[in-house]
Amino acid sequence: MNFKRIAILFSVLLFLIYAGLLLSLFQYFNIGLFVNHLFSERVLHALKLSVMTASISSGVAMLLGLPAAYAISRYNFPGKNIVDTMLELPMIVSPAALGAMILIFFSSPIGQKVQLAGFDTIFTWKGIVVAQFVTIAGLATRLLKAVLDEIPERYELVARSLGAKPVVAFFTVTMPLIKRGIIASLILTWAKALGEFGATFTVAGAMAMKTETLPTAIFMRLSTANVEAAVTLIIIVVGVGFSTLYIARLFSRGRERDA
Amino acid sequence: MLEVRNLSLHAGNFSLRNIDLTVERGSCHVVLGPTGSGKTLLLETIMGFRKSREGKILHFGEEITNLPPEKRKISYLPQDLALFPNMNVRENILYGIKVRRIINESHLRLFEALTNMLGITHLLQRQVTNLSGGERQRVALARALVTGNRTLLLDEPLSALHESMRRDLWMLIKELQEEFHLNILMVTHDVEEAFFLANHVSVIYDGSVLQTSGKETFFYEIKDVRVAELVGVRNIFQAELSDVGTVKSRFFCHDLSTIIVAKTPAHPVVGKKYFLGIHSNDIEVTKKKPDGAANTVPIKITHIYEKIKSVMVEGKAVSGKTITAEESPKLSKTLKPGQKVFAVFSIEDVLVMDQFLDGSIHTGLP
Repeated sequence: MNFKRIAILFSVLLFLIYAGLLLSLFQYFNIGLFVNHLFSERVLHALKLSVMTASISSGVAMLLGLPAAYAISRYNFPGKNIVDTMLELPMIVSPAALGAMILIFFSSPIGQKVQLAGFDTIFTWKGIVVAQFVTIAGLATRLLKAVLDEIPERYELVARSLGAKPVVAFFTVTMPLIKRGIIASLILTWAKALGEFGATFTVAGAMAMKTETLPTAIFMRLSTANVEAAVTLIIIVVGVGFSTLYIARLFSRGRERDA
Repeated sequence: MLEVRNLSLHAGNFSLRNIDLTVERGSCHVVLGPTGSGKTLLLETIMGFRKSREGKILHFGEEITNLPPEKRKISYLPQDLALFPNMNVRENILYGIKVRRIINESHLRLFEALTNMLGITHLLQRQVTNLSGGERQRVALARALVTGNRTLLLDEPLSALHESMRRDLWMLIKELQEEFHLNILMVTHDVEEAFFLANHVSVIYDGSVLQTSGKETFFYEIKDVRVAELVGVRNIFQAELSDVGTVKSRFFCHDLSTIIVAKTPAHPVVGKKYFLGIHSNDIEVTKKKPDGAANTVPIKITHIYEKIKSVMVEGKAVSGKTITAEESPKLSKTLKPGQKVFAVFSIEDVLVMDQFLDGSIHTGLP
């Protein structure tokens, strides 16, 4: 067996592992129950809450991540490596630990002042946004940096030699070139936020019709041995996830074609 | 007019040191250097993309050392041209005047004049990703000049083109320079390109300028063996000054085990070591020893290489050192490997070059 065949075999093996997991869902799948669960008030609330919080947190992550990614991609500054490493914190620390850190921060004097100022996070939808944001901001910045790294700085330098100020050069030359990359990054970040569980559960809990997102709903159904309901929710999450990935792929392909 | 005075800068492990250059009004100054010598870094510093550690840059007498690139009024063509892929040809060319909001009748006239002169009027609606190499160069030149900037920095912009297209663009750049009285600073590693376009030539090596001179005298005023190697002097020999005269001096050439007569160097010291260089096209190969020739070295032909319009004749001297001569194909038909002939060259054709300041012998020589 040659090297190529062995490599392909491993890719097929990994596919089978995931495909097997997905197929196993269907032993508990019942179309009637699925429709009933799907349109139940509690599931619809969880879906709405998940979509809303994921949209806000990924939007904020992109807004903060873009200038940060630009700085890391284009400039050298003192502490750049430390900043860059810190962005990996959500990837190396477990989500539950991240959630605990958020709780500890909001119980600190500064955190309490923030809560008193009206940004109450504990057991609220705002807490879900904070938990999701903290989990995905580093990833968003990383994705955006990769997008910016693909665009040679030379375009902006030439634009400046032609008389454009740095901000004008960015918005007239770089921004149109990274537009698709930004949208693809946003979709991936959004999907990651939608599936976030550990930090969200730790910060906001799992109160039905209040702080219950799709992933926490899955956990709650499983904890009460309601497997059919859990399967319905899993299928929703998988469906939404694959759809977003597909859209992100379409944008990425467009990006490759434009390049 | 562009003046660079004592410019120094650090960039990682590399540094530019004490660079002095002047681009005279309406002239082309070519900086010649091997890959990694600091050519691009120099242009980027003049453009303001990098901060210099010390030194000054003056543009028409005004100091621009600390001005941002957009205020320097210098256009820049990088090696890859950096045409904006999100814009068509017309939008690319008009970019500079649009972002500066200076679009007026005179700029539009200039736009028309340039697009006509560069032969790109039929391409204006085309996407830049669909242009050929030569078309891209023309669009980039139009974009750089339509702003009205009269100083142009070119970073090996023709290196990716094939031979005939490059020559067309050399001529076009010359025409543009004369038409618009451009001050051009261009970096390249191509000696022929430098010779065609330049009024002045500087050689940069490892971050320092080794030599600057007018084009006419450049090839016969080489004072540094690194410059000689860069411009393709194939015959470089180690020698020691043995007898000093007012105009000509005698050198004992260790490599050829013979005496070579050359022009007396500045500050001659008997016993001092030099490098002697002879361009291959300054060496004549003769079958008989000529009478009265200043320098004649017997050689045995080892190889004859055919080029398009000439022939390279390679032979070994008695010492075993190789001498290369460039001859006309007609003459070379009478020569063949193994034949014993004479390499003849005049006093004026011998370049006398100092060895490195530390006295070391350059190891890159064949």
